[in-house]
Amino acid sequence: MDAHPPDYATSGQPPAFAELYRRYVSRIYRYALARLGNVEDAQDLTAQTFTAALHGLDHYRGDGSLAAWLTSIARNLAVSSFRSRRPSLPLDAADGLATSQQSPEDLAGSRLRLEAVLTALETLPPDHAEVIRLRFFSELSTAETAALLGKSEAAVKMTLHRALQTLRRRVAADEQEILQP
Amino acid sequence: MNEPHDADHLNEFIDDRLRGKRPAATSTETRFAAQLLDLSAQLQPDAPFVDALAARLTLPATAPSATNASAHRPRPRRQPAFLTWAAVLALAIVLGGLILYAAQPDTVALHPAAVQNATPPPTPVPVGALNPLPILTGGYAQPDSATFDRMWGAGLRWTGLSLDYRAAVADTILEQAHAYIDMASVRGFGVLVSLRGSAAEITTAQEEDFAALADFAARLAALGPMAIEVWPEANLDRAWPTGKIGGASYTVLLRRAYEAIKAANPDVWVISGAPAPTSAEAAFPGRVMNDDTFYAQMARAGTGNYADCIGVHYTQGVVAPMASTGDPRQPIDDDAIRYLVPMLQRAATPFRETTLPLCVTELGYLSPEGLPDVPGPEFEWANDTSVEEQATWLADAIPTMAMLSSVRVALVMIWRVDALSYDYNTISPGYAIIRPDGSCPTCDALTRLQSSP
Repeated sequence: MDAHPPDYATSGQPPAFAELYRRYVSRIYRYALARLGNVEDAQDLTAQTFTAALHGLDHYRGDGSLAAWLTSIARNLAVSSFRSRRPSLPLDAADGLATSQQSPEDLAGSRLRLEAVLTALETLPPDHAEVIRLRFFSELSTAETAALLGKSEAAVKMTLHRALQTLRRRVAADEQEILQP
Repeated sequence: MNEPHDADHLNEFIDDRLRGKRPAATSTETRFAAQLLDLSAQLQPDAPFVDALAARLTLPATAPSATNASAHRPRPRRQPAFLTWAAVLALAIVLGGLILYAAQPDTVALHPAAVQNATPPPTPVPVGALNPLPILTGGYAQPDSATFDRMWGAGLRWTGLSLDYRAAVADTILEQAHAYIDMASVRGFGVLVSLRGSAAEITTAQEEDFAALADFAARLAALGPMAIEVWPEANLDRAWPTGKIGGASYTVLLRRAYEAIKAANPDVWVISGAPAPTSAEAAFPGRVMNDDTFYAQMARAGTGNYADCIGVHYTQGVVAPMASTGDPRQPIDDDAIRYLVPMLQRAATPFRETTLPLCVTELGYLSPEGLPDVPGPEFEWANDTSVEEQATWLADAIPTMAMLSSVRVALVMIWRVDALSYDYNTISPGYAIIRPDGSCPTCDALTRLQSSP
């Protein structure tokens, strides 16, 4: 969440774009990947988001967090974007999961779970899935998520609780199927 | 179980983790939440992509490393450092660009209604190959690999195909479209198909007349174009039955086509057919409807419910794209159809309650340079437009539209890239950016635009 640095929002000044990019590119990418399910589309949506943000920087009124502003741009673009015509890269091509600290078994487990999570997300009601994406992948606070979705904070909390329960059960069920075909 | 309490506890747990704390996961849900947060933290965009995007945005390479990318470890508090020289340069470029365009002579006075309602969401930018231009841009071109290569180098990422639907040869037309879409798609291009019907085949302009075209549009959508523009220029009687021209009638067709296209392929964008820019309604009653009247009727009839983008044409300009005065044609100097930005506002204003962007499905400047003459007396207004002006204005039009705050432009299609024929009594050679001598000054200008801030 935007705990650091002390608020661009309250300074009333347009943030330096390079800093904005450095700080939020990963979060927007994660949201995009969770939303679109493949690396290429996630990269495209991330690129679109920051390009649009650069052009629209004069519209940022400083009345909310930058993360929420960028995420709202990404959400709008995800709704209206053209879809890539290229075959989707499988998630095991997602470089983000390759770290030297992980053993091959850990990596295999990570990839399996990401696929299971994203697959299960698609089966949730759209508003449940979106709350999970906003809280876990875009790392928005409850208040930011509520503002973005036009809901009360209490509603967001309850939705997230129920969505997570459902997601957990479905991921577990998917993984059981994979392990025991 | 006390669900509100459990929900509060779960959300507090997530918030603490996002703040870098390590609260104990004491429930099934918080343990799963912790796993999900850890999984999310591992998802990083790859460094080459981050650097390439930073370069495109004219920023220093800023790929987050794996060691500092996790959002869930405590972050060292750092001094605000957003006034690094690179950030200053980037900000200066952005502000300089805004100042430069604001200071242009003959700056556009926005329509008051457009200003009042000017809070559009950001403009959609490309999907597919990373778009090197400020707006996704393409051009109408014949299926020629050399032409496609030149387009790609100029930053054009879509190709356009105009189809004239005729029921008797529908299968043949579809075969041609299929071949075109495949050839363009395999080279990385998106394809816009501008689908026109025949006024003679919809004589009553009633809903039952539109079934055949809607079915055809569905078959076309199944071939995988990126977008289909449905029946442009329906405000002229060369495209629509005389005496039956109207935005409401057109919207019935659009609805049928939209539903058919989406049923066949929901990924295909439906672009409402751009009306022809014209102020000739009074001179030709029943045969012509002014485009602004037509747009207004479309909006009232619900076009916004049956389109992903509103089609617009601008092909009659003889002044720079940011100009709003200075057109030498008489007797009307301030006819909006002669100026790009007012033309866009004319199209956008009736749809301002929607979130729909504009798609400029034909952008072109006619130049007779290198040709024996303009294609006919009705095109003499273009006599003095040079190829250099054509190139400069087309290239300038892209950032001009990207900088607009009152309208959003999602797509621009240059009409045309190549000439349909070398018959200089037709209009395409003069509009084509690949000139008769094989040069392409517009391609050069667009290439320069790619590398400009």
